[in-house]
Amino acid sequence: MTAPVRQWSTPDGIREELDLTLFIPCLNEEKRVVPTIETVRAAMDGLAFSYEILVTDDGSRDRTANAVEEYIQANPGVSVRLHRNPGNSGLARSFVDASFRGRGRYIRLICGDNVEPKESMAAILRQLGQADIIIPYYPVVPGKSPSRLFISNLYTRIVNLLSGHRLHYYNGHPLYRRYDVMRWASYNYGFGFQADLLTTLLDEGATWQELAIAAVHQEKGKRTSSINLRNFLSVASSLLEITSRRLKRYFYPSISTGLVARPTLLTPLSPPDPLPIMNDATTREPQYQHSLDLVKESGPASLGLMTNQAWHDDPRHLVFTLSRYKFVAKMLADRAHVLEVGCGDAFGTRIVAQSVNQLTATDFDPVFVADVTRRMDPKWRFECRQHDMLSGPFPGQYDGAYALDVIEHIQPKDELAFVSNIVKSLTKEGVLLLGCPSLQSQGYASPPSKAGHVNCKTGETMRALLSHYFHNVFVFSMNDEVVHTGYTPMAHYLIGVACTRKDA
Amino acid sequence: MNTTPATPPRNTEPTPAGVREELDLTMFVPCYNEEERITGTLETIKAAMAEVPACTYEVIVVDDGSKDRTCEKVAEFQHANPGLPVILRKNPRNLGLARGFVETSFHGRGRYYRLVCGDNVEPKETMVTLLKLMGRADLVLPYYPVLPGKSVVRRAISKTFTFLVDLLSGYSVNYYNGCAIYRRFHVMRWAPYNYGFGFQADLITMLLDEGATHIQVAVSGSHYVKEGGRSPLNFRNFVSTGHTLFEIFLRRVQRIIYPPRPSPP
Repeated sequence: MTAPVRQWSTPDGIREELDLTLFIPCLNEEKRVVPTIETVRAAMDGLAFSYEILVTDDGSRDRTANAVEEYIQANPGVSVRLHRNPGNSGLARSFVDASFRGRGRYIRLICGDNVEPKESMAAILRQLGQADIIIPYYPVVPGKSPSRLFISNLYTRIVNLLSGHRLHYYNGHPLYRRYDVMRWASYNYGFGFQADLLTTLLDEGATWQELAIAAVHQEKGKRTSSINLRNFLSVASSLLEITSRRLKRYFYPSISTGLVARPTLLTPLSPPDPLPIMNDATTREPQYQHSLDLVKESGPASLGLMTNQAWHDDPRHLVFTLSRYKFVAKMLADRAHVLEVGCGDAFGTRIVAQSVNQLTATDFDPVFVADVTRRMDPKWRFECRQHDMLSGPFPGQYDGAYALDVIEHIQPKDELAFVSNIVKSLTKEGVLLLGCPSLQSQGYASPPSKAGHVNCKTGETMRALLSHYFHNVFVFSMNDEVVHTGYTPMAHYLIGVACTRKDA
Repeated sequence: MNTTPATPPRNTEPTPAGVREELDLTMFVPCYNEEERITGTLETIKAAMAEVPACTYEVIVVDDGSKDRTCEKVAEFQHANPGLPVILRKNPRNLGLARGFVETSFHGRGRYYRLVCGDNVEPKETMVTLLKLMGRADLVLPYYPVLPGKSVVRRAISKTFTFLVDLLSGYSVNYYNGCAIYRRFHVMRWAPYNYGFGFQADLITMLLDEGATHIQVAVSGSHYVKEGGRSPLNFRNFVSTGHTLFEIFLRRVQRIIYPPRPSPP
């Protein structure tokens, strides 16, 4: 069963640098943990997602941790991290802890006993981004005893009955948004943990997709039975919580829509598949055939994280953003090597790159740098590096530098350090351009465009800032796409152009 | 200032890689129809932060579905103070204090996290006292030996609640409903289920169960009853508080039956 995709933005307090975190819990799996990692790698080989593998040794008494450490040493190029719990914390608790340690946008648990075939794994992971939760279920499980099948089916029916939802299976290993696990993880760490989490997320309005998967049930030798008093109490507690939430929803319908707090559309980190275009198609007018041929050869261009969002939410915004890049391109035309500070998705960077001999772009956020690198067009290649200008100058010497829509995000107490570090990377003939929304414009700006603005400038403060380091400062006004020298308090945007370093 | 003896400070617990920490402190300021008082609250925060200049911080004001001009007042303050890190978030409708508290912990970027009520009820001196203790323990718990403006009935209810939580949890905390300083990641990791009156008691006892260190600080404050405000004494809060107390008791029973689990990651 499928629901429409409804993704939301990641809160600022969460670090998301990869598409996927794969969590492998292990308890005495010295023989199976390395094959599990290999299976994961094989499954990921066919997928274009960035990922990391987090292995948690949950208090093993055998050589599980050593086996993982040896694997890490032998495979330094593979992103595998090992965490050792000081004792046995249990699967569910380790899963929640791992969601806090991971850096992926999505997270999935992979059992450390290598029970899941590569094909099943790949089939689930391939659905990444199609819904908030991808929930696998297993129509046939060879090797599972009739009594276990009966208990499993009974449990599913009870959860469906109490929660009012209708899933095939609650104890598979779904693919979750990592933030969802962090935010809505249950306190109950027993057998009912996943049912509790899944029903909470469905209560909160998460979208989901169920996926029928082939499974192999594997009985290991000596193993603790899952049918014991502790699990029984824990499951009862989970069922009680599920019922209590349903009652709350019934009596207080307004409390159950948490998604209202995070409605923004999120772009998947990895590029989508190329558009299906028929190989033998031709345009009716020959002059347009090149457009079609280009897409056939190289696929359609991807917009980038911020531009995609602007194109989605406010298409007009793109036009005046790009016009700022065009102004920079005109000012820095024919420069030998130009540095961009705070490039974001670097969508406009190509406009400057078209006019200069060489360009290096930087951003302090590795998510954006990864996005830029992934979308890099060989024809318009430039260097893109992660660097925080507040931490120090960027290596190299540049005869031009610019930072558009950056200074307003820098705390006033840090602005001199920020500009000074850029200036240190400039040659003595170097030119610096700073652009930011005017302070006066903020009264009219929408909340999203104002978010994070702590240091918008007036014409005077822009001039004063650049005059610290340059003899010549020219402040231009912008309204929409038009650059002019008009009255700065009426400008929507300001660009300061500075040259002739005072310390040169 | 009077700090009660505490377990040895522990501030070395590493922050998990998936949590972004770029500042010392995130202050969460919830507002519901606070047009008269929100500017005063932000001015108090500004004055307090000026006395702890080494502390990097952000203020996240969450308008919880106000029907008055609260948002405009915050925007005016932002406009007048462009250098201050004040962020305004708006809930499309009223989601309640506790839920806002948890949600905002995910939006903040501070190492520590504190609720500052939007009704400007806390004196600057109290705020400074607490902020200067930030980092001394995982939890800095304020309590109010004297709280002018609080009725006898409310004081009795408050004391009964504290007594019950102490009894059921086995801890001895002077006050569970003050505006404590938490590690932000702790609020994210151990967020309470119940969004009623007892959410802080649930969170604090959970953190103590998990081995968090704490200090208690006697501070001064005042109690303010908003005209036309909703009384917390209602059936929903009663049920929610009952649920919280049950959870706290259940955890204690669990601790007795099953030995304590390891510390947080």
